[in-house]
Amino acid sequence: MKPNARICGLAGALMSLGALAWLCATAAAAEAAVTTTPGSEPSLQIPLESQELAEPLETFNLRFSSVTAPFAKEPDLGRHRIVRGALGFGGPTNNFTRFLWDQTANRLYLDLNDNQDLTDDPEAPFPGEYDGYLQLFPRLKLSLESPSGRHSYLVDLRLGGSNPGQLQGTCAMRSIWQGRLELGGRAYQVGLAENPLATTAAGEAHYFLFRPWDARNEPIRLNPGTPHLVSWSPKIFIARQAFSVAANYKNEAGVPRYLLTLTPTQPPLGQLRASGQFLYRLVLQDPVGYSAILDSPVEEGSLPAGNYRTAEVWLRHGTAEAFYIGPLSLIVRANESVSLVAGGPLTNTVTAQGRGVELALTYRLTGQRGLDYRMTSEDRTNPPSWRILANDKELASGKFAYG
Amino acid sequence: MASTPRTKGELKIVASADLHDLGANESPAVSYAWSSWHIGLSPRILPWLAILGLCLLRPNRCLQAWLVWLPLLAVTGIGAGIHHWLKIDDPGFRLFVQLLPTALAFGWTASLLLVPLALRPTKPARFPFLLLGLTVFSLLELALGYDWKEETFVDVVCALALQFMVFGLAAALSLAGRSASRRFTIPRLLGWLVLWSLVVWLALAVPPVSLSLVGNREALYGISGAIGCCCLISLLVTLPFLALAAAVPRYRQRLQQMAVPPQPAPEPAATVQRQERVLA
Repeated sequence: MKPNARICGLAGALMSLGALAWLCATAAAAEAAVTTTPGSEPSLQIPLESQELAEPLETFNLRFSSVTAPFAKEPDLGRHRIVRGALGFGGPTNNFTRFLWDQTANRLYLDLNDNQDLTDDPEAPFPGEYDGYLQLFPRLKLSLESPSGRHSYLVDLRLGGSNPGQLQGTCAMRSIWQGRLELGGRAYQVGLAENPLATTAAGEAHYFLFRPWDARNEPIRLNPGTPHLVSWSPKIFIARQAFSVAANYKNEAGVPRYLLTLTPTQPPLGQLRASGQFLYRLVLQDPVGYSAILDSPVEEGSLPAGNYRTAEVWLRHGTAEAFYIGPLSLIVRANESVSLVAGGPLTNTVTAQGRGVELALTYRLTGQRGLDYRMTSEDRTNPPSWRILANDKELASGKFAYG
Repeated sequence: MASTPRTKGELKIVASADLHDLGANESPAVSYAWSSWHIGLSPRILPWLAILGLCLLRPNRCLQAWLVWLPLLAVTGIGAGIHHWLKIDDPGFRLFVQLLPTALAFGWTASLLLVPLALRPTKPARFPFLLLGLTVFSLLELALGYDWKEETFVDVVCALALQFMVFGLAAALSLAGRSASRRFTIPRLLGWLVLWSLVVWLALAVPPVSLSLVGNREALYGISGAIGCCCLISLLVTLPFLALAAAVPRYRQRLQQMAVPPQPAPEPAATVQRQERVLA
């Protein structure tokens, strides 16, 4: 081999090695969900993807701005009754999406690309359905500006009103952001639900989603409630670990994405001994500290010291589920133990109060500590019933009325 | 709210709901000592006692005066009967069918009983008397005859609607009495009352209808319907009392005194002649 050829071969080998090393490093960086900062435990970064929900999560009122001038390019709608307008969420912005509503054909044209041309939007027009006195446009993608950038919301849109000055409507959010996280050898689904009315980027994350990965297909309903969404808190305690939480939204090249960052923290811990039957999940909220999510079994374990003011107590037995959401005072001191009595069994409770010639009966479903619970499966068409007995003989019976 | 058990003594009350093994389906029995005192102490009888008290006043101590109970019992009975038989558990329905008519009937009854005490034949203050009499006794019945503890939006609407009805009725009756004053008969008064009721209620409807026109059309329909119901109820409640006035001369006179302004008495001819003589 000539010396020149030997040098070329060596250089080629070195370049190949360099390229291989660069490729390996790039691949490692792409796969990593863990990043480290000097002097602290590694942060967990979870990319979140949008997921459509089987049913609407939360409903928001829309703001309307009247638009009377025709769009630069409109479909030929003949003599149809049409209403032009612009809709947006409740924040103090001038951010609206303009639309043309063909009330005769029950179709909605949205100017999603904001170019005054209603004939070039690929998904338009959106067909509507009659839903009471409003027209429903289901599973519609709204694209609106927010403090962190342009967001795309999957919504059920309801519109009413026969002229631009009388427009009214709501939109029900139908999507959440979710990703997968492994903690302590167990897989979880984590994510967030957005608040489209937020006026700051920090306020855009409305609820924190956290549940075992196996439970990811359970429906999420805010009415009457779900154990798997808790109010967003910058500090959370999940799977017996404390984290500070941040959600960063980016919309690059029209691809929206959230990055959820969980940074481990080391708060002083106390011990909780919880007693009560059927406890499935306990959510304790300190308004200036941590939101602690304690999953079954929650009988004994640690949690950050703090002055917890409110709680969610979720009970499950088989397919039955009941919950309490409300005030619950619990002070947890560092390195000290505290007891909490909450949970089942549940008791149907009735109180009677004479009101003149009538007897007012009040129903409550109570658990330990006298907390008021609700069944998530409550059938409002079949409320609890009552009976009045005298000398073991039934005098009267009936059903309670909700209200 | 349970209807009154027809018994005395200790009652046991049990609630039940299917808790799906999260707890027992039946509640522990709650004891309640029920006695006839519960009926005796009911504040609902106070408006009735007030009417009874007015009947015991000197000008009303006669059989004819006590006939005023008939239209009152008719209105309250019909309202309670419709509500009981139709079994429509809707606060708005109960409001228009039972609560407002009963309250207005109490106002009518008390006003008719108070006429000889509060109005002198020559005094022209008909409208203030009507407004005050109808308002005080209607509100008394509404406040005590209805369960206000629930504090629902309907309660507020109920009180507001009654105030509008009382004002509308007092104004329409005063204007009808003025229109029918030359030749006073009950049918003429009724005719004028219907006409003036429409005029007054249309005038009362102007502000809310104007406001709702700015808002949405559904609110306009709701407000128009409520105003129409109020007008109709005030006329329907008035009918039995006009029938009483047509049948009983004492109440015809009281109604005339209540609604018709005093007519200037013709001067005696002798006085005129005397004045002519003085001038001559």
